[in-house]
Amino acid sequence: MSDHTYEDRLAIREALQQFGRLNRPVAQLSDDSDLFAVGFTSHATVNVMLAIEDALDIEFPDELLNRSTFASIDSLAGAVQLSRGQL
Amino acid sequence: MAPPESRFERDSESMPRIGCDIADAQNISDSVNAFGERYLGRIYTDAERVQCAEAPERLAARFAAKEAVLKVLRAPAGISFRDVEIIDDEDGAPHVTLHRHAREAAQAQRLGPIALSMSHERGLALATAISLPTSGSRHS
Repeated sequence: MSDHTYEDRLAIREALQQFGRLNRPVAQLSDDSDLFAVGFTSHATVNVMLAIEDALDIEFPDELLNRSTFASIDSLAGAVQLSRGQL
Repeated sequence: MAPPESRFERDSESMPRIGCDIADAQNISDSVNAFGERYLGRIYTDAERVQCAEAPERLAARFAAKEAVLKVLRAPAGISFRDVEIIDDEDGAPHVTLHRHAREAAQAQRLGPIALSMSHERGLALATAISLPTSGSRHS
């Protein structure tokens, strides 16, 4: 498990809370909750992605820009780790 | 019991592909305010930004159009929003140009040119995209 795991998930949750426009508080979501089922939109994914990039000083490569990347906190955490490996 | 042979499957491969999307201009403004150049540069090409003059409703229409086109392409992974470029001609009609992975996806699915219609009113923008598979589009 990555040393970044805790701070990654914290940053992801903060980005979702601020920019996700979800219809439930992020604190009520588990790491595997379906984000699109709680109101996540394609436009909001862009904002959340940019906020995560800012917080963690990474950049999501184009290869990760698909719906499955943004499906859950778990999948976003996986994308963060992949992004870090590709920088 | 398995469905009978597949007229549905056969026909679905030759049916038009349609995608639509709606975008809120206020959301676009909020994103520009929050992320500025990073947001604009990740979504829009330079030519699109010139044509939109960074007006939120025009940017929203293009965002909706890009999403509509991605739905036509069935959104395979790796397509950047900038790979789907929406440029108006001199008569104001929007035209879709696909780049990189978007172009490859369209070619792999043997899609023809993508036609597009966009509209916006009261802060909401709507776009519909349609493409016809080219002849011989059945996968072997």
